[in-house]
Amino acid sequence: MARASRRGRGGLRRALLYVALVVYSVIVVYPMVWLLAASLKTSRELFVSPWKLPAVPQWENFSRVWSKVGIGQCFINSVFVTVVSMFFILLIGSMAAYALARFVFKGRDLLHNAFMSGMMFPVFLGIVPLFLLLRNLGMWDNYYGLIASYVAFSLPFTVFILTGFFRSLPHELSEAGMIDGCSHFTVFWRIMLPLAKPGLIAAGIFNFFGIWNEYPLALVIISRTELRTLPLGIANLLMTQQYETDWGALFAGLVIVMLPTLIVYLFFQRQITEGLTAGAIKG
Amino acid sequence: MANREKIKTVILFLTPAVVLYGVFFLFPMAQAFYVALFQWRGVSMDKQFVGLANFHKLLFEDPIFWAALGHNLAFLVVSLLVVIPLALFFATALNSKLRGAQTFRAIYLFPNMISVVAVAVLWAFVYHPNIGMLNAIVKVFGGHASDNGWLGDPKTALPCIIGTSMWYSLGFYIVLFLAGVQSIPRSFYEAAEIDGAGAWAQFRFVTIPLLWEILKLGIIYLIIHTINIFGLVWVMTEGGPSNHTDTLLTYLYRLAFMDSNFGYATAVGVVVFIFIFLIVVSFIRLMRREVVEY
Repeated sequence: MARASRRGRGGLRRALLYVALVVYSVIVVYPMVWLLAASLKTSRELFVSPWKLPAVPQWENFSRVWSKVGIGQCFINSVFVTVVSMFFILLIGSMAAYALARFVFKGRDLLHNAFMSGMMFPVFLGIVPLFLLLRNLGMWDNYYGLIASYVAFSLPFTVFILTGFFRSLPHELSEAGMIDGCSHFTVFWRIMLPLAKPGLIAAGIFNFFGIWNEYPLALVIISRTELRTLPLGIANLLMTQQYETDWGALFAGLVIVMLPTLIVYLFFQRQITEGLTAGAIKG
Repeated sequence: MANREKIKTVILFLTPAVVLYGVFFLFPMAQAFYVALFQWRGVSMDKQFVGLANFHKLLFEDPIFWAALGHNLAFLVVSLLVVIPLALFFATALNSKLRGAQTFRAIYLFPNMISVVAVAVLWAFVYHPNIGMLNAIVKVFGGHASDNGWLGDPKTALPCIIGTSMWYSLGFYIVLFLAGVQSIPRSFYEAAEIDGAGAWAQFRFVTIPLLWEILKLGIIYLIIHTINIFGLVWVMTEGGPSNHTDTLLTYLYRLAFMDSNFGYATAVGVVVFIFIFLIVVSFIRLMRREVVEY
């Protein structure tokens, strides 16, 4: 008797849990589904029947926002900035992490702490000095300044993840390489870097999201229209399209920003959830 | 010989990172504490040393600063009261061997992966007066729809943005706590169940104490994120209507890059840094004392 009623209660609890889980899923997913439908509607439809599916899918919204409004240019800019920044972050970050993880030298702990402390500073603390510095160096309002800043700001987290990985690799491997007559650089490039691939992937994924979505630094460093990255372009679109009420195009633009993140997210979902929590818990 | 080779390698490997990080990160951060001591307006290079006058003005004569700080605290307090309990609830729910737990987790985390700008624009339309979802829902339940849009109304603008920020960040805390809950051995719960502990007692006496360190970490993240909130507010309202949603960083941004009031803006940045530092340190102190009880 007692056991049966207990199981009944457990079943009810389970059902209630499911309801809660599904309700929150709807809260998360519904705005995005609505967005997808809205990106294929005419502005009139959005006004008259905001809840229905588009009568005829307006694919022109996408071509209009891509070429006329210039989101296509922003997309290409974002791809360029993200790829170049990630290349330098991973190269420079892994070299530094390797030196910090595998060699004993004077000042190592100091350097390591200097990198780690970077994770505590809010971006905006140094924003004015950074802006003035870039202007004095002729690096303001161009990609040299933006990419240099992205690399510098991403180093603490990247070095943090990668030192962990390099430390965990067995010492015998590099010693064997050295005995075979490899230079330190060859050992790093040919033996250690391939072994640290999971770490590079983890760091790469997080930097991809960080840079593709980055807004405040780009807002301060980039001013020219033709250099805008996607977040800048979309934020600007919100201001201009509100007056022109070409909402279909605006929503198509939003889909264009979100699509690459969705693809990368689906592809690396396991690594992302694991990396996120591993990084957080170890830290 | 081998040693000189080693030193050369270390220098070669570290130089690019140290130079970039030093010049474009550490140097501006350190310089902030110096720039904050100057009265420095406009693009001209003439700056005047004023000591702590910027801080004095900020703390004693600037109502916008205090209003902005208040808004940040509203973000912080509401998130503490809503996000942390909800995240704990969903994390324990996802840990109880339910079918589809992986899918739910993947869905919940996704908002956190989208650009803050995209989230802000999307939600600006949820709160839109004409085509907004919120007005439509309110009408269904016979409530009073907003004519100027929920973001245009000084009374509702801030709560609306706080709601969006919770939608954006909740998944992160669910995934964080879920990892913590998953590392608690099942046998602890089984033992508790044999002792007659119900679901709540298990949560209170097994989950919470064993999750303590990660819970602390989650709250520290929450403090840092809510004090540093910028993009969401800037895109949705730019701090308006008339400063009703200003946060410390939207105020800083406007001071620096619209009014060219560099010294004063940097003083705001320094205060934000010190503020975060003090809250986090005192929070860690506070929690450390509690943990001894278990």
